[in-house]
Amino acid sequence: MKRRFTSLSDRADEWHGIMPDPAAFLAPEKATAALDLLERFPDERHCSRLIFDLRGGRTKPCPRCGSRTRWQQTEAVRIFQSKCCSFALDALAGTFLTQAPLGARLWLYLIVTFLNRSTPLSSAFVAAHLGTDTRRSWQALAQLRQQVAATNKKLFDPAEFRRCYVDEFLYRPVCVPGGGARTGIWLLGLSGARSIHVEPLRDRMAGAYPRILERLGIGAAEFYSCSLPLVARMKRQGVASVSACELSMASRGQQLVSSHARMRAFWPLFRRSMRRGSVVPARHHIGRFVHDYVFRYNHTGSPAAMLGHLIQSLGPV
Amino acid sequence: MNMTSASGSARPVSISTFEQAFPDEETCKAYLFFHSAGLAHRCCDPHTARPLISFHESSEFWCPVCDQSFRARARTIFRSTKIQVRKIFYAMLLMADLPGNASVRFLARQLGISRRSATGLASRIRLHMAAIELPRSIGGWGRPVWIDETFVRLQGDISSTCIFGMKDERSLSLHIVPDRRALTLQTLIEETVVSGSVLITDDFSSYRGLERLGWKHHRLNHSKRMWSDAEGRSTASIDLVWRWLKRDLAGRTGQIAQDDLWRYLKHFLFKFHAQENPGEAYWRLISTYPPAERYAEENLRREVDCRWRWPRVHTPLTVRAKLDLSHLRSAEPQESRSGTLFLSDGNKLRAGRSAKRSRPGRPKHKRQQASGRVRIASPLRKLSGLALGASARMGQNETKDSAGLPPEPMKDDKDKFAEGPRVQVMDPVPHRLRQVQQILARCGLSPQSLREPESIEDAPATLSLVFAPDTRDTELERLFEICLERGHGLLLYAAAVEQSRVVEMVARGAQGYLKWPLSPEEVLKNLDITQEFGRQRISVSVGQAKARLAIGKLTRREIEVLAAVVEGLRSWEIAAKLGISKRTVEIHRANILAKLETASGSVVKIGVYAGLDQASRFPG
Repeated sequence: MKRRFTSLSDRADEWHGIMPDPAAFLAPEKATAALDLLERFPDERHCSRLIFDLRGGRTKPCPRCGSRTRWQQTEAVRIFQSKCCSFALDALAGTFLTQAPLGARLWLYLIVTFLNRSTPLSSAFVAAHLGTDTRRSWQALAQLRQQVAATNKKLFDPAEFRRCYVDEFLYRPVCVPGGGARTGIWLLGLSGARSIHVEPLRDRMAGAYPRILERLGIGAAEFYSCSLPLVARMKRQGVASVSACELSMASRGQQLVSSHARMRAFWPLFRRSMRRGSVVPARHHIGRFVHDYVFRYNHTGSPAAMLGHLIQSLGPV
Repeated sequence: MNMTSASGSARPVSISTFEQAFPDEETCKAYLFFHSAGLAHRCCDPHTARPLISFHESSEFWCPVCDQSFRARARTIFRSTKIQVRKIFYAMLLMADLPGNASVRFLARQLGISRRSATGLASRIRLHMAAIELPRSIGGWGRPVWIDETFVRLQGDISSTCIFGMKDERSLSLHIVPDRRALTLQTLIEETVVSGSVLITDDFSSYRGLERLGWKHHRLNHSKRMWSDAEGRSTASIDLVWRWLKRDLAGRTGQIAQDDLWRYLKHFLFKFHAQENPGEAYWRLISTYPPAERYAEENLRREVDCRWRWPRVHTPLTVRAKLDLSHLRSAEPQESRSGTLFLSDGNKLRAGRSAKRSRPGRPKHKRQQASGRVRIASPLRKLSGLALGASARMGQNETKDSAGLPPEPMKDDKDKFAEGPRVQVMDPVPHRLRQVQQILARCGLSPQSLREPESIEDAPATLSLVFAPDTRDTELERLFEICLERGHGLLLYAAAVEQSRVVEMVARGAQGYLKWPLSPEEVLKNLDITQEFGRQRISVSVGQAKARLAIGKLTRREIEVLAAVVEGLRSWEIAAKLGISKRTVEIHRANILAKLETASGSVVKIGVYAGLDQASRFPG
C-alpha cells in the first residue's frame, strides 16, 4: 500500500531551502546553542529530517533498485520512502536514539545540552527539564553515555600513542554495594601527542596492563612514567622511568613534557567535574563516565566538533 | 498557553512547557512588560481603556491615545542588557532547575552568547533571585528547629568562613557569621526563630544556656556518638542541608570571592525553597519584579552576611601577646618544688602533655628523658609562648595536674603573684570578692580590690582591667563612666546571664560578660581583649609619637579610611560608611600604604598607636 505524502515534503525545493546543509551543521564555527536548535527545528518532522540528512540519507541510492532517488517523508515522521519503488527507511533505526522513549527533537536537545555542559548531567535534572520521569531520563542518559564511549573509542588513534606517558589514579567516590569508605577504582591514563585516553583497571596485577594495551593496539609503543610502582608493574612493556625533575629540565616544546603536563592536569579536573555533577557512579559504570569526560577533554579547543563526531558515529542510514 | 494554570502546577517547568508559553520574543517581551509594569496597565485616559500596542521587532510598547512609549524591560533588573528576553527566561529556567550552579560556559553555549555576556546575565539573575527571596522566620509553637554551623573555604581564605543555619520542616535560614561565639549565634537565634519553637542542636558550647533564655532545647552530644536521642531527634536534617550546600558550591569554593558568597547562598536558598513547588518557583521568578530599591546590594547582602554586625579584630592574639608581654621576654623559667614552671615575674606555666605521662612509678620515654622538652599548656601558651619560644626546658620533677587546670597557688608563691600583671576587682560582697581574687590569682594575675569606682588607678597596670559584678545599680553606671574615662576595660559577671543584658552591656563598652562562678578558662579567654588595652598603655611613649608623626602625612579622608580599617571594617563596609565607592576606598588604602611605607598589617598597628581605634570603641 502506497503511503500518502505530505504536501510539505512534496515541495522539495522549498524544503531544501529550509533545511541547513548537513556539512555546515556538523562543523559549525561554534558550539550549537540549544535555544537556536529549538528555533530552527520547531517540530519532530524537521528533526527527523535533519537526522536522516546527517546520516547521509539525502544522497543515498535506493537499496532495492539502486537508482538515485529522492526520499520523501511520510506522515509517520521517522519513515522516508524512495520515490522510485517506495522503499521505506527509518531515520533513527540502528541507533541509540530508539533505545529510550524520547522523540527526535528531545533527543537532539538532550544531546546538545549534554555536550554543552562540562560536567555530567544528572537524571533528576534531565527528567525535570524534559518533562519525563527519572527512569526514562536515566535510560536516555545511559544510552547517550554509551554512545559517547563508543565514539571515543572510534576516535582513538594508535598512531598518536606510539610514544606516550602513562599514569595511574585512584578514583575514590565510587558506589560499591557493601563497600567501605575507602573503596575506589584505579584508572590507567595514557597521554599521547594530542589527546588522552583513560581505561578503568579491574585489577592492578601485572597481567592486566598488556591486555588493555593490546586491545588498544599500542602494545609495542614507547611508554614513559614518573610513577615507580607503575614502572615496576609494567616491566614487561619496558616502561622507561623519567623523573619529574628531568621533565622540568626538559624544554617546554617536547612532546613528552606536554604529555606529562596534560596527564597530571587531567586527574584533578576529572575529579572536580564528577563532584560538581553530583555523580557517584557504580563501579561497573565508571568506564562510561570516564569516556564521557575524556571525550569532552579531547575536544577542549573545538567544542563545535563534538556534535559532528557523535552524529557521525551513528553510522549511515 | 494558560499561564495561570501553569503557574499553579507543582511539576517543574519543562522545556516543552517553556516553548508553549514563550514561542517567540514578542510573547516574552509582552509577558515581561505586563508583569513589571502591572497587568492592569492601560492608557492614561481611563475612559478609552485601550490596551497598549507593541512594536514588532523592538522592545517598546506604544499608547495610541497619549502617544507615549514604554520599554518592556525598563522597570526590571534586565534594563541595561541587550540579551533577548526569551534567552533571559531560558537562562532563568536553567538556573532554577540545575543542581549545583550553572557554569558560565554552559550558559554561554546553551544560549549562544559570549562568556562575558553570560557572566553578567548569571550575576543579574542571582541578584534577582536574592531580591525575591525574602528572609523567613523559622519554626513555630512546638515545631522543631534544627540549628548547626559549618565552614566553607573561599578564594584567598586563610581560615574557613563560618555559615550558621537554622531550619524547620519547610524553611531554611543561612547566615555568614564572623565567629561561633555564643553571643553571635544566640543573637541570631533570638532574631530568626519564632518563640516557642523546640531547638535541636549538637553539644557545641555556644549553644549552652539557651534553656535559660526560655527556649526548649535538646542537645545531642556528637562527641559521645549520640546521633539521636530516645525520641528519635537528630540533626540529620540540617546536616543534609550542609551536604547539599557544599555540593552546590563544590568546585567553585576556590573561585568564589568572599564578597560574592552571599549571592550563592541566596541562590541556594531560592532553590531550596523552590523544592516545595518547583513550577510555581519558576513562574514567580519570571513574573515578580520588585522595585529598584529592593535590588540594593548592601541591603540584600546584610540579610545573609552578618559580619558587618560583629567586625573582626584585625590584630591577632599572638601579636597582641607579643606587644603586651614583651616584658616577659627576658624572663627565665624557674622550677618550683611542685614541679610547676614559673616565670621570674610571677607568671607560671604548667607542664603539658609530657608531664601528664610522667606518673610516679612509670618510666618516662627515652626520647623524652633525653630532651626534657615540655609543651606549654594552652591557654597560657598563647600568652607566654612568644616570651619563651616554642618550648621550655625543665627538670625531671614535673607533676601532673589532674583537673587539667593551673594548680592552686601555694602559700610560698604568694609573693611571686604580687609582681604579676595587676587587675582590679570591685565587688561589694566580701566572700565573692575573695573568690574572684583566688581565681584571678590562679590565672597568674595579681588582683587588687577596690571599694569605690573613684579609687581606680589613673595610671593603670599592664592589664588595665576591672572585674565587677553586674549589679544593675547606679554604682555600675559610675563604674562604666570612670572605666571609659580612664581607659580601663570592664569585665562583668553575673549568676544569671540574660541575652539582652549581655548585648546591652557589650554595646555600652563592657569588654566581656562572664557567668558566675568564674572559671579560670573563661577568664583567660577574655584576657586577649584586655591585651589590646595593655598594648596602648605600654607603647604609648614611643609608638604613639611615631604613629602620630606618620599619620601627619595622610589627608583627612585617608585618616577616616584608616580609622575604619582599624575598626575592622572591610573595603565595602568602609565604602558604605563613608558614602564612596569600594574602588575609591581601595585607592585610599593603597595611598596610605605608600605614604606610610609599610605593610598592611603594620598600618593597623600604627592606627592603633595613633589612637584611631578609640573613637570607634568609645563612641559615647
